[in-house]
Amino acid sequence: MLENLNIYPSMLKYNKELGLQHTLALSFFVIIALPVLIFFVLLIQSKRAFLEVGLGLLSTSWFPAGQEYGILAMLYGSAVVVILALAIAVPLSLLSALALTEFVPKSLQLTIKSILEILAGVPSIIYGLLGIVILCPWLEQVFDISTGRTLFAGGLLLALMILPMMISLFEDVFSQIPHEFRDNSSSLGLNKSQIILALILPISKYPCFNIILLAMSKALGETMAIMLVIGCVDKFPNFWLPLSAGQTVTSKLGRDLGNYSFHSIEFSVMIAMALILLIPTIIFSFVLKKRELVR
Amino acid sequence: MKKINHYLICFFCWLALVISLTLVLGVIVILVGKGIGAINWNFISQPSTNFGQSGGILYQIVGSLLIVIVAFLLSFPVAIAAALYKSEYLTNKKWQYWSDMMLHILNGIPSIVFGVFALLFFINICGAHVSWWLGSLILAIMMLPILTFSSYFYLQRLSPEIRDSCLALGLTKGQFIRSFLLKRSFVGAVSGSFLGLARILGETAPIMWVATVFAGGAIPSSWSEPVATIATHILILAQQANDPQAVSNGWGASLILISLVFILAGIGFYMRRQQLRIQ
Amino acid sequence: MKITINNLCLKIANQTILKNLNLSFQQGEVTCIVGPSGSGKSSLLRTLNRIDSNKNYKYSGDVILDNKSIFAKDYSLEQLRKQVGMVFQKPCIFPFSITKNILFGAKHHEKMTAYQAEKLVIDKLKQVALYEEVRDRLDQSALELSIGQQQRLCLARTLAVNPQLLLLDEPTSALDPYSSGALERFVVDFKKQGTVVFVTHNIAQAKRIADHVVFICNGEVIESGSAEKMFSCSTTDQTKQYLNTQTCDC
Repeated sequence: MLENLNIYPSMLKYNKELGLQHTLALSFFVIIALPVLIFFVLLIQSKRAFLEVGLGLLSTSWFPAGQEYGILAMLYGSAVVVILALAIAVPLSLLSALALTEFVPKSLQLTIKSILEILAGVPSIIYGLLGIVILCPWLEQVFDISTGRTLFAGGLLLALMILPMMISLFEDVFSQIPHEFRDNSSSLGLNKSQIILALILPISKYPCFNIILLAMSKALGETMAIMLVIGCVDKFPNFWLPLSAGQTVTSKLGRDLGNYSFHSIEFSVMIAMALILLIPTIIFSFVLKKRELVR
Repeated sequence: MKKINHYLICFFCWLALVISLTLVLGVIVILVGKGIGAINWNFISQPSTNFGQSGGILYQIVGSLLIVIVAFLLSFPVAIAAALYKSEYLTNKKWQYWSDMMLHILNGIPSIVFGVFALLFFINICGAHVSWWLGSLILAIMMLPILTFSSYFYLQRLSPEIRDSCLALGLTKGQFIRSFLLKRSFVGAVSGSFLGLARILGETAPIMWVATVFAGGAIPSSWSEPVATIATHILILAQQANDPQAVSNGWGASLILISLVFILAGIGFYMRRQQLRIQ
Repeated sequence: MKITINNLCLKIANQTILKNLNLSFQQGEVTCIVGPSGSGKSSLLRTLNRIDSNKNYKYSGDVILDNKSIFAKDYSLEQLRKQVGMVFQKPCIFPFSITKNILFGAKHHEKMTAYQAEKLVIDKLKQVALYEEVRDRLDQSALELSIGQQQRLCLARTLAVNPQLLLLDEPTSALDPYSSGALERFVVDFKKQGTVVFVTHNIAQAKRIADHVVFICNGEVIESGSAEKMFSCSTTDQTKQYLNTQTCDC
């Protein structure tokens, strides 16, 4: 009996220890498992689309009534909108960040940076409202077209959305270059712009590319704003006319997923699109982590 | 030649900055300018009628706050627990790397994919009905990475000397966690909480199929009722862009939404800066 | 090259760093500036090549270089820094190859063919006694060098621009004895082609290489003169105390 009394307290402590560890572990593994769960749920539901439609997904015509489930138009729309957004936002944000770190006085720099960080959190639906009420009519006026709801509008809006975040991140990169580098370059007789071209930009090539990848990843996933301004036409638009309406993967999902019944093949194709959207996200996260973009 | 290059580069940098700031601040100026006209006491205190073309957004404000607060309450304990586990018990480098990776992936999944997943998993597979707490659930999942990272990094910054001295006093790991680290993990998660709340307050896509309806949303009185949120309301109004009254209400709702988001984000960033300064 | 400093006062954010300095540096000589920490020696050097000219630095008085004031509105800062080279206390190597580091400043001042560039690199490396140690890895990253080698590389980089006045701010404080010795030998050698202003805490080093010594304390020149005079029969008590015991009551 004495032996039992001796074991009991330490067993209690042992159980408490293990109990805490197991509780914490449970939470941890639930979180870790979530992306896997999401992936597999999407995969299972889209199985039908891949098996039954297969390569038909790669056609340019989406016409469910005629059994045509080509999603190429959506993929093209997503690509166009993202490329357009990056083409506008990358140079603009890069030069702005350079201006912030190299030319703007320090006190103002911190204020502007804080403002930009907060403004990066504007919800995308608000950009959607702005787009549909202000941007699209403005485009109609400027380009003399019947509707402003075009891929071009989507690209412009997306550029505006990723701009504050990119300036903030680029500014981080440039500020982390030690002050001594600039002093040493100055004392060798270089002026500010020479220092930018010969020192700052070459040193920052790697992290700047990471930032562009991150922006690309975020731009691909954007739904609410794009959905409202893109025109939602499931057609493969004319190459030379970004001023035509189009469709992206995200806007198609946002608009039309609710229109199809659960067990229809259209629904499965939409889930397949969501899966195709998920895959670049995973790849980008993987690549960025490998390139060690610290959050 | 050198001089010209120098002036050109300086000019373009300044031009870019001016354009960027004008665009970005312009968004705010437009919102405030157009929204302030629509906001009055009625707007905030009356429910909406006629698909939002008239009336106010009382239900939407309450709905937003409801699902966001419940989402926070759901995700906070899980995130803290996971951060503690990752920080204290996970020693294998490979596990650290892959758990980091999973959290980053979860953080980067687009909102629409969360919406699709919520629709498939909760409604299709689990058979639930459109309910407000499903919205909280999916938003809680979206908040998890931010909270976990925030708490985890703050735990990591604890100096090893303090750790060693606590353990040298004879505390077991569990006692150490309960008495000391728990509070620290809470503090670490606070800045992440504000940032996470700011993010999910503005979300539409994740909840639009599982928690909200496009007409007749009211304050839910039971578990299985849908909810109306400010963000989805703006979506409804934006789709009636031809009606000036709807648009005006849309600006008002946007201004309210953005004010809430900015206050939360501002607090979150401020706390993060403070945390980075103190050990 | 003649450098004269007339009544120079320097204020940074309303704090007076230098008060009424009157100095001149002689061509072909090494002037050592000594003094306790925080007495303004580094600030004096930074004034001479006007680094930090964009911060809250308020100057009064004048610095005349070859009959032109360096504070004149139309005086090109880039030209000034081409003539006045500076080596900082902490070696600052850019993350490029050794060759690219050395050519970094020189490339921006004149066009060179590949052959000329290569010759310049080898020349300067030999001048700082670094060539033998790195001759087989000129195209590899300069970050792999030891501290002593990095500092000599910084010196070579500054020399590649062909300055006539060399400002050295405690360049050997972080170096091993071999690198320090190499640097001192170089300074003595450089006298033939230019002027050197050398800030140091090390009195023994000053004894070895200085032709002139300037003692600065609290932003004022306490005493200056030829090295023999300063070390053997300096006039003020403060100077005597500092040069003998490296302590100062000011």
